[in-house]
Parts: sequence; C-alpha cells; structure tokens
Amino acid sequence: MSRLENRGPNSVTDEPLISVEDVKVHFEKERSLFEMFSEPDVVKAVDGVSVDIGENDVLALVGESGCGKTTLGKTIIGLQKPSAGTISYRGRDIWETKAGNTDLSFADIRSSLQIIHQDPGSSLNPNRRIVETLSEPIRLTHPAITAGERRARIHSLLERVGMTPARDFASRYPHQLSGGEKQRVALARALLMNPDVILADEAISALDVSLRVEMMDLMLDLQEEFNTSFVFISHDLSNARYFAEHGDGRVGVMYLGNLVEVGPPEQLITDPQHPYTEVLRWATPNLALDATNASEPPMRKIDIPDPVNPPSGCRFHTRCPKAREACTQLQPELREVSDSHQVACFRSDPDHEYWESSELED
Amino acid sequence: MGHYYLRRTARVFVTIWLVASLSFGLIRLLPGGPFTLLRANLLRQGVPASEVDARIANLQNIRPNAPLWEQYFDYMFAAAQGNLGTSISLDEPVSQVIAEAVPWTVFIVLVSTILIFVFGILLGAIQAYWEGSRFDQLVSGVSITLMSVPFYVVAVLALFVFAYQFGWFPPAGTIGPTVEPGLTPEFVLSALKHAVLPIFSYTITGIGGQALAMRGNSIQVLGNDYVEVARLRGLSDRRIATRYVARNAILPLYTGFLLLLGFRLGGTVILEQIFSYPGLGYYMWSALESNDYPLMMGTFLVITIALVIGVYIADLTYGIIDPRISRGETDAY
Repeated sequence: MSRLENRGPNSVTDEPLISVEDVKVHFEKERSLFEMFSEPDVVKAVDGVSVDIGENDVLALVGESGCGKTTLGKTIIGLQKPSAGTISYRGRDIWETKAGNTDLSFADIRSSLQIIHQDPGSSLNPNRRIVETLSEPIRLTHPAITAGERRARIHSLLERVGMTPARDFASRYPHQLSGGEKQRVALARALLMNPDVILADEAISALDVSLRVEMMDLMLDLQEEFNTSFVFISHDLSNARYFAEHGDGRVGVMYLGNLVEVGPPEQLITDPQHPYTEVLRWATPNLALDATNASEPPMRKIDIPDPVNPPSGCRFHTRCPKAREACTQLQPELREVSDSHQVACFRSDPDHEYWESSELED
Repeated sequence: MGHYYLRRTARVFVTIWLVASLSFGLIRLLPGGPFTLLRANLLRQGVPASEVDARIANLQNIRPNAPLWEQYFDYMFAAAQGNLGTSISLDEPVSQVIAEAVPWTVFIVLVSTILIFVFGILLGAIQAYWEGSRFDQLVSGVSITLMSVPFYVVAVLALFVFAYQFGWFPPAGTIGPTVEPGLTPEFVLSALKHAVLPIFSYTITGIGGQALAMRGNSIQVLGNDYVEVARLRGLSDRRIATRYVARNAILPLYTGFLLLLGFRLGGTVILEQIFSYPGLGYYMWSALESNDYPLMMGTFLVITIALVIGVYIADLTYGIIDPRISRGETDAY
C-alpha cells in the first residue's frame, strides 16, 4: 500500500499490471505413518521468481516438464497461493485483497485473470450447450443485458473466433465440437470476462500441429482487440517464440523452479545467454541454427535432478557444460545484459569469481 | 431418432415375451409337473377322475392333455389378457393376489431405493468436497462395512432387537389387524410403522455403495478444468456444486438407480419372508413352498417385467439427461 502512495501522478501508467516478486511455491509431500517425525519432503515448484507483466503484454514461459511453469502461471493469475513472496495486481497484493485488506474487491481481480486450459475436452461442461456456457460470463459482467443482446454478442464473438455458422455452433454441446473448436470456445469464454490477463496453459499443445499457428494468430488478433495480456505456457520453444514475437512480448525460460533467462524472442534465440536456453534451442529442431552440431547435446548429463533435492548453487550446474566450481556454491540472480534481456548466469558478469574458479570434472 | 425409440420399444415386448416363454418352459421342466399336485388334491376332495381335467382347464386356462405347444399358446394368450390362472394354494385368481401384493412391495422398494440415493449422494458429495478429511475416512469405513453386510442379516437383527426386544415396531404384516384400509391417518400410520423395519434394513445396507460411487464420481468431476474456470469466473460455490459438479457426478448413477430398483424387487423374496410382509416376494416364496405353479409364474413374470421396464425407462430418458448419449444419431467427428 505504501508503495502506491509514494508514487508520482504519472507513475500509474508504467505500473505493471501484474507484479510477481520473489515468489516461492513449495509443495509438501504427504508423510506416511513411519515418517511422522521426519522432515517432510518439499518440492520447490517455484523458487524465487520475480517478473512483471504489463498491459497488453505477452510473456511466453518455456521449460521442460516439471520445471514449474504451470505452477508459476497459476500463481500469476491467483489460482495458487505462493508460500512466500508477493503477487500484486495493479499494485494490490492479490492474497491480501482476498483477505479483504485492500481497497479493491476480490471479485474484480478474480474476473480480470482468466485461464485457457490444455485439455479442451475437460474445459467445457459437457451438459451445457455452447450458448449456455458463453452466456454465463456475460450475465456476470453485464447483468442488465437482455437475452436477445446476449445471444447477438455470443454469435458475433463465435464468428470472430472463426466458428461459422455461429447459430449452429451455439446450439451444440461440447462433445459435438472438435478439439480446436472447443479451444476456440474456451478462448471466447475467457475473453467475455473482459480479462486483463489470460493464462494460456499449454493451450495449443493438444491441438493438431496444423491448427496451432492459426490458434496463436487468433489469440494475438484478439489480444489487440480486447486489450488483454497473455501468459503463454509452452514446452515448445518455437511456439513460444512465434507467440512472443508476434505479440511483441518476451520469452521466459524456466529451469527447476527458477526463471533463468527472460528476453525478447529474437535475441533469446539468436544469442542465448544461459546454457539451458542453448539446450532448449538445440532440442527444437527448426531452431538449431548450426545443424552440424545438432547431434551433440550442449550439456553434460541428460538426467533431470530430483526437484525434492535440487542441486546446490546454480541448479543447472549438474548438466551445464560450462559449469565451474563457483556454480556449485552460489546461486546466480537474474541480471540485465541488455535492454529487457535478463539472465541468471555468472557468465554474464565479466567480473564474477566464476571466471577464476576451476572447471567441474565429472 | 424416432426410429430408435420404436426399436427400443419393440425390444421391450420381445424381452417380455421371451421371459414369459422361459417361465412357462422352466416350470414345465420342474419335477412333478405343474398339475400333479392339483390333480391329487382334486381327487382327494372327491372330484370324479373324469372331471378333474376339465376342472383344471377351467381354473388355469390350460388343457392338461393338449400338446405342449397348444398349452403354450393358451397360456400366452391368457397372460396377454392379464389372466394368469388361479392360485392353487390360495384359491384366488393370481392377478388379484398380485394386484394386492404389488403396492406393498413397490412401496418398500421405492422408498428404500430413493432413500439410498438421497443419502448416498449427499454423503458421497460431502466426502468428495472434504476428501481425505476425518469425516471422509470415517464415512468410507462405515460404508464399506455396511456394504459387506447382507441386508437379511440386518433384517434379522433389526427384527430381533426392535420388534422383539424393545417392541417398538410390529414384527409382521403390512397393517394392524384392526385397521381398515383407506386413506385414514390410522391406516397410513399403521402402514408406515409396519414398513419401517423392512425399509430400514433394505436401505442401510445400500447407502454405502452409492456413497462411494458418488464420492468417486464427484472427485473426478471436481478435477475437471471447467470447474476451475467456473470458480475463476467468480460463480458461487453453491452454483458450482449443484450445476457443475453434482449434475455431472449423478449422471452415471442414474441408470444404476433404475436397474437397482428392478433388482431390489427380486430381493424382496427374502426380505418379505423375514418380516412376513405379504408383498410380491412373500407370495413368490409361499408359491414355491406349496408347489403353486400359477402363482409362481405370475410373480416371476411381474418381477421380470418390472426390471425390463426399469431398464427401458433408463434407456429412453438417458438421452434427455445426458446430451452426450446421442441415441444413435451421428453429428460431428
């Protein structure tokens, strides 16, 4: 709260929409009867991430399975309560607001942050027609609107997301739609809430490859029209790049609960600063620019470390080909290498003790 | 679509016809044959041997000396007209005995099955919301225990404790001996009092299974993304619980409900015997004991027809309740 008061009159415009500060999400593993008195195993799904999302922004999160990108995404839209750190919406802490301690009502925040899930089959209530599913958000946001107007809005939006004839689609049940069409309905439903941020949690991963670009283009078109920001989660660097590039946003690379590199897609891919980004680039065939080296993975080990017992220091040091002694001791922080390009690697700092320490030997 | 309903309805009649034929055939295969006892009885009563066959034919719509296929047609035509012959042991038309017995059995079965569903669904839904809590564990344990106890064990215990030890409820019959049938308060009260123990023992052993089924379904539905989205839209918990979770979780139980109704009708054979409750099952048992073939066939037929109709209704209405069951129409995909 005090931060808000200290700001000048012009600062409202550059205030981030969502501000994530040093957020940690730890899950405790349930203990069995025999482990009653031992320390519980803690999975650090997200371990100290700070990132800002502005108005009409795109943040594409990439990383391998289990790196915490979905958990971070859900934390950003207030679905997952962080174990530590704060997450604020327009300067108000979301979880404080939920407790009723700020001037904003939680219902406002709630409807401003929406989600599109990965599985189109599970994201629509099988017992409601498309028109019923879509009238619910309108009824919530515009209680005064008549049924006829509601129908007209739904039809025009369905046409807008490429589902024609809208009248026919509106009267269908979800099981009568294809996966791509269901995902379009999910997008339409999220947009009808007039949200500020939509979390697209692997929203295109379940779609046919040929439909992915189309769906991404649709989301980007509507982003401008509806003035929404997207947090786009993907495990495919090329999809993330496409989305962030066309949405004029950033790509964030996650590794074991840490954000290791954030930057504009073009820079991140042509000039990756973090060795892990390099690995991701290598793993994405059409991005491996020098195909001659494509057969050799740019890392020492393929195995992912146990998230319950993450490696000390830099978490990537067990697999990093450039790791040195210093990496096993200290954890690098995100630091700016150029405009809006940040990386958490000692190699970005020419004065770091990393350069003096000895190389790791397997 | 209409085609489907037509086919489905035709199948009901075919099934009932098959069941009737089967009961006719099976009973004729029983040792002694259906009319040996009746013939002996009539002879003992002093009916002249020459008239015995005519009397039997008169009573049972069947000519005992005719070829089997003629007997079969006679029986089927009479049954189609609602004439099921005359009970040998009770000396009353079978259809009349059944008509008097059916309301009591339907009352017990319907009430106990509805109770099972109401309580089972409530318990299961609460368990699902509080998954892993003390309450959930306790109810699951009790449910499994009750599921493994047969209803007739509970029935015998209930009869012993509540009827004989405490004397709270009458041990037998459908209404008190002095009560006149009619829509009077005494009649309703007496009927309820007589039905409490049978309904109780029939219900308590069935709730557990339904609760566990509902719990499983609800937990599965709760994990669906559309429930999370509904929460994100800020819908009230109550609306989510009823319109989103309960509705989708109850659907699979619906067919089970109508099937269970039919199967439990058959279970009354034992239940009504324990409580000397003169319903359908009670008469079926006494018919078996006294070699009363017409009554046996009649009760058997009615119980099976009830089951067939239960499944029929379930099939017809499922498409209305769950849009995903498409009644054979193909759309999309």
